Amino acid sequence: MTTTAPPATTPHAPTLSDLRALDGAAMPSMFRLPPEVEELRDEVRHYAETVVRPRVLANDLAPADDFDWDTIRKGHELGLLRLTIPKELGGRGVGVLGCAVAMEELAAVCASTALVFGASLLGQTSVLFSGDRQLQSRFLPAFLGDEPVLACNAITEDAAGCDLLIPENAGHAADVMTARRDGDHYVLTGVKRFITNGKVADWAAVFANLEGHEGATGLTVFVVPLDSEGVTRGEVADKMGYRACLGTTLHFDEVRVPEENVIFGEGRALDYLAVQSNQARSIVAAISTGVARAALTIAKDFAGERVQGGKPLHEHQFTARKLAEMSAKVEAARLLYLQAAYQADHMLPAPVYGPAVAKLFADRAAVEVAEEAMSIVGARGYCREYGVEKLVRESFGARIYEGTPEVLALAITGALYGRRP
Amino acid sequence: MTLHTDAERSRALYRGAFAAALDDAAFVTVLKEADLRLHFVLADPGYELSLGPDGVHDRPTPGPALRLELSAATLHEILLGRLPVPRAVVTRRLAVKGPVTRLRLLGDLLPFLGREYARLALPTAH
Repeated sequence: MTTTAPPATTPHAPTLSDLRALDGAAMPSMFRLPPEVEELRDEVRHYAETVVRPRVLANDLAPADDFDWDTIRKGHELGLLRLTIPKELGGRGVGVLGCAVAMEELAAVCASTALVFGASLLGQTSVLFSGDRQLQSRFLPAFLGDEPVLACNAITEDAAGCDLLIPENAGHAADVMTARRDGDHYVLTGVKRFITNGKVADWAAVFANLEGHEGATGLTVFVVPLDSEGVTRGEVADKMGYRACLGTTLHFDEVRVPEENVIFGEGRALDYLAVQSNQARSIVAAISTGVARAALTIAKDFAGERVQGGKPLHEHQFTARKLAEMSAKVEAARLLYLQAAYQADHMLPAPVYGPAVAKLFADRAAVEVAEEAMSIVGARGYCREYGVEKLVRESFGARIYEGTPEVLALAITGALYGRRP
Repeated sequence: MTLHTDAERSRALYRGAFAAALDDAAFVTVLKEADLRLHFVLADPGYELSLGPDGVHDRPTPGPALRLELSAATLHEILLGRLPVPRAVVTRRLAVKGPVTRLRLLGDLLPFLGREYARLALPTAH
């Protein structure tokens, strides 16, 4: 009598959740990444596993105002701080798609580190998209040097945040930071809150409202070097997650900014935000996808090894269902962010709808997949060693920045009902 | 904007400016290096023009292209340097489809087109 060995479990079998599956010749071309993005993805994955992963726990436990420049420096050597700068200007020129794919790879190891790079790239967008060559020649070369330099966007204040993106809410702009014209300069006064990279960035794209303008009609974007006289970097927020990137208060006290540092001209901030937010939402959706993928990987590995009732967890129908649902969410989130990023690279202005849907779905997927991973891994997941609890904490973060679910819902329904594109 | 109320007159004006730019070897060099065609879809007054190193055509021709959707009046302002391309985009007067990461190359091409357009259009502008 011969006995048949039970089929071996293959906890590391390739799945679509390994982005490499998109390389396969069997994949329809519409689902394949451009070669330069595939190459970047593999480089970033190697960096994330060899440089970022060994320091994830230490960075997560460090005091709120610690910043791991060494990790960022090694990422800079890879070109992660110049991903969207065109090749002819010395950047990697991989567009929003390449940037988003890189962010998924980073976030699958450390969402917090991904956000350091992502926030800097979004800060650069203001100067890049301005098409203003004098601004580009002044503010972009720093990202091409040997030492890492960071940028940031400074939008959020006590009185306003991503709600400014909803035109109907723009009346709040009257209460935000003010800019007063003074000859060939503007004078900025106000306080910005929770500014990612604010503690460590060289310059910021600052949103302020021109004095004497109604509602958002004076809302303007200024490029402000953060070593300008009158700028003070305040306290770092002691966050429950995303602890490797620093969210900081920035105080502006009569800061003089030359008129050539205005992006697009006076009163154009909302127009610019509409373009920039599509890139931002694609990138944050990619970060959430990375978080969900990391949680799925941990749960899959654990469910493949942990035996209960004489068989691995994944052979128990209830756990199998959980893993299947988690997989579906990761795959769907990825396809949505890839589509949104592709749109951002091929349509200007990109439609609001796709990136908003991608972020709404991916952010929720991250929360749900991380929570299910916690339930599968159990007590170990509640401890730091498996990293699941960090994923749970960070999954909630992405639902706040670059558009809460409530703001995204208004953007999506605005498109559905034709109130905006 | 009487220059561009009539489609045929408008088309002839832009076609003439683009063709004149193609007589400039420097412009053709930039265009070839960009490896990109410019396909203008001028919804108002309603016609299309495709510009590449091989000439000006009334319909899209094969090859990678930036599709620029705008009115003839907006193109007039862009070519005369009165409306920067990024501002035209954010104010939704210009929609771009195609590899928009290469939109920057327009900055290299517009001075040639603008110079020829101004030469043809300004003497007759009202």
